[in-house]
Amino acid sequence: MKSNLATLMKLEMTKRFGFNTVSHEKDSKKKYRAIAMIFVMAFVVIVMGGYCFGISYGFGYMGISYVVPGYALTISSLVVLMFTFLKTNGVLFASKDYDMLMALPMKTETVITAKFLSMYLNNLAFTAVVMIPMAVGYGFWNEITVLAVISWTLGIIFAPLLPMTIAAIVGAVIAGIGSGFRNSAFAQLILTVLLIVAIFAGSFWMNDQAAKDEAAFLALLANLGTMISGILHKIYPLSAWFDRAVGHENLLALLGLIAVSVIIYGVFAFVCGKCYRRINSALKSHHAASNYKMGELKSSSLLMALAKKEAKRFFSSSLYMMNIGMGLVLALLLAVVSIFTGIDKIIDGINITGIDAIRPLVAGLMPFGIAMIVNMCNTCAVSLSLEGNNLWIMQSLPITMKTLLKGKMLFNVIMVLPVSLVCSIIFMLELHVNVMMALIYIVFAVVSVLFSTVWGTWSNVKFPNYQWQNEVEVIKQGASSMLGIFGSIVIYLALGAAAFFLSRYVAIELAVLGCCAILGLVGTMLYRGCK
Amino acid sequence: MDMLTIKNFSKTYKGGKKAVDNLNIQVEAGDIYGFIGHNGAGKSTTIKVVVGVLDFDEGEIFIDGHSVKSEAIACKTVTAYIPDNPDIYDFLTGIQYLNFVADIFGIDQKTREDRIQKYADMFEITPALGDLVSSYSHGMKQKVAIISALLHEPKLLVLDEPFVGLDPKAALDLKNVMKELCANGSAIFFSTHVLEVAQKLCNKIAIIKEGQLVASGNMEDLVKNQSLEDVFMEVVEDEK
Repeated sequence: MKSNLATLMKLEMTKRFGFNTVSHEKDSKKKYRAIAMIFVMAFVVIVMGGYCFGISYGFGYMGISYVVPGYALTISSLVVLMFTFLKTNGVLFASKDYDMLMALPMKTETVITAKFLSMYLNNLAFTAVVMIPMAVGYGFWNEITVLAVISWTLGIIFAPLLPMTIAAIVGAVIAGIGSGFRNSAFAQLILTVLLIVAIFAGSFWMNDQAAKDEAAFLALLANLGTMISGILHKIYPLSAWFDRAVGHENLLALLGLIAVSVIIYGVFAFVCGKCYRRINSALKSHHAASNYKMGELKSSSLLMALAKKEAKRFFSSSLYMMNIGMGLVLALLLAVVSIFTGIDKIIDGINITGIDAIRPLVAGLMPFGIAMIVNMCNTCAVSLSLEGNNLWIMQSLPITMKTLLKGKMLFNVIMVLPVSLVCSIIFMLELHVNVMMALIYIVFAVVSVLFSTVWGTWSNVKFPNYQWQNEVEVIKQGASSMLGIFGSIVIYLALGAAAFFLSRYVAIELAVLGCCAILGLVGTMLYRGCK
Repeated sequence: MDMLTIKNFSKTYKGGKKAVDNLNIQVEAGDIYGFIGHNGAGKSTTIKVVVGVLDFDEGEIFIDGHSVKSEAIACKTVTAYIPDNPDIYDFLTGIQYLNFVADIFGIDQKTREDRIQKYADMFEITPALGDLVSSYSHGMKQKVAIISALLHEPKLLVLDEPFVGLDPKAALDLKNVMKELCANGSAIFFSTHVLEVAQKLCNKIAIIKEGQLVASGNMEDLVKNQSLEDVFMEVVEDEK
């Protein structure tokens, strides 16, 4: 068992971290890309670690360092929950190598253990990046005792277990129920959205209950640390035990935390082991009516056929829809909420220091905000990589690379532009902008969608990954996805800041139009570079 | 009339390995041309370069008089390719995939309906065309890939190990389709390890070893009274 497990773990790690690409790849381009990715990841780890240390140190500076352990545990657990959710299907269950592994002469438990360990190690890395810098920050303001060090260490080791188990159970249940429907991806999406809505509704209800006790709330405000602790303990009860374990050297709380994590994880692993074949069979089964009769076929133009194919790809995957399409849902929600609550209340709700300073400029800067959220939906940032094993089809059909990319871009524009325009119109009416500004809203909506579409395409052309095993690697972890989606956010933030700065010297309308021109110019250059 | 001309073609992979070395092949209209060699001999690399899946630096390749390098779209318009592993879009149904390919080739509605009906019935896959490709077996995917390749009546059909995964009836149907296409003036260039099939089906063959052409020509001239298997083993052994 041990040697088999070691062999499988070696395989999982080689696959996950692309060691073979770095050491054996003969194509120097691919090799350098893999090395570049390692540097990018190292940079992200340093930034994230620095941010976590900063928060921890900041809490200590404010004299509330006692909230740090619970905060670290809650944040790392949320990160693990977020990264594991919907990932189980394809990694833990219904993986591509399932058939191959199950045919090998090794125990089912060994296969499951290897999959679990692989996921665990991945999540442990996330947890370490969050919790170690926070522990260091905590150490600056508190006495470092042996028990505190042991508590932090064990906390980091056991922290991923519970959120990972919850995410795996929910993910598997959703995938399992979804697989019973003809369009399983759509069913999975609806179930996931329902779950998220239920979580939000639950949290609103909890907040509502808390707000009713206004006197208690005001008393809590007077003591910021207690308030933060209270919220964290409510969100994630295990954080209270970790606070006690580290802050009060409470061994019982530490053992309780470990026991709860291990027991729940153990029960899940045991049940999972017993039903592994059944779960996989259910997830891998397909609907096949096999009763098709030839009827009339509708023909489409070349570009429309390519765009339709992209649409079918998008709506066939719940992971794709959830991760890439979320920006559109968010933007529409904000726009609709603004109709009912009024834009001022939304601005009040944005709890950012200095928001009052830009309040008079909100109307002028709103297009950047809309563009930032709407263009988080960027199918072009991943759609080329998603061709994966199917790439030969496009390579052998009589279409140029540019035509293929145009088809991909067309789908993104068809999906994003209407939402961008609707949001722009709602906000321009809410903000009572003048005719000139209204026109700028429309122009900016169009230009920003076109720019982001080209930006996403360029990102994917420059950083493609066709050798993926699971689409998660492209959609959630791919360099082009990061660059295309987060890069777009950074660009609109930077342009918004530039417009804000320029508005001291020229009319805000002119500043926004100037940004529009920059987007158009850079977009054209990037479009030419998409080869 | 030459349908496929491969002139002094070489392909070196990044890292220095020469997959194909100075290959020369001519496939004429009406030919069923078999391409034979060991695993890793360079067959699939050559095929992928011919159909535009891989690029190349040395030599020239012409399809129906058009250069694969400089007139790629003109070449692909008259060519069809079926890979050894038919990974077609899992998220489409069989009929959606065929309709998509028909759209790309700009085939009119009536023609596409007639051709899909004809070949889907022939390969006995019509009832399954409404199901998602993800539910298909390897052989069913292969059948859909074959139908998609026949939709635009290609002048050159390029196949990489086309009989792998096909049931005996489908394999026979495919051989008949290949003969019918050639009778109508098209050409077929395919790789195979099944030497009996190659001997019965092909009028010309080429044998490749470690990227180099070791024998080529008319089947009758090469085989004479022997079996293709004997000739293949002789040629390959002689080159050692």
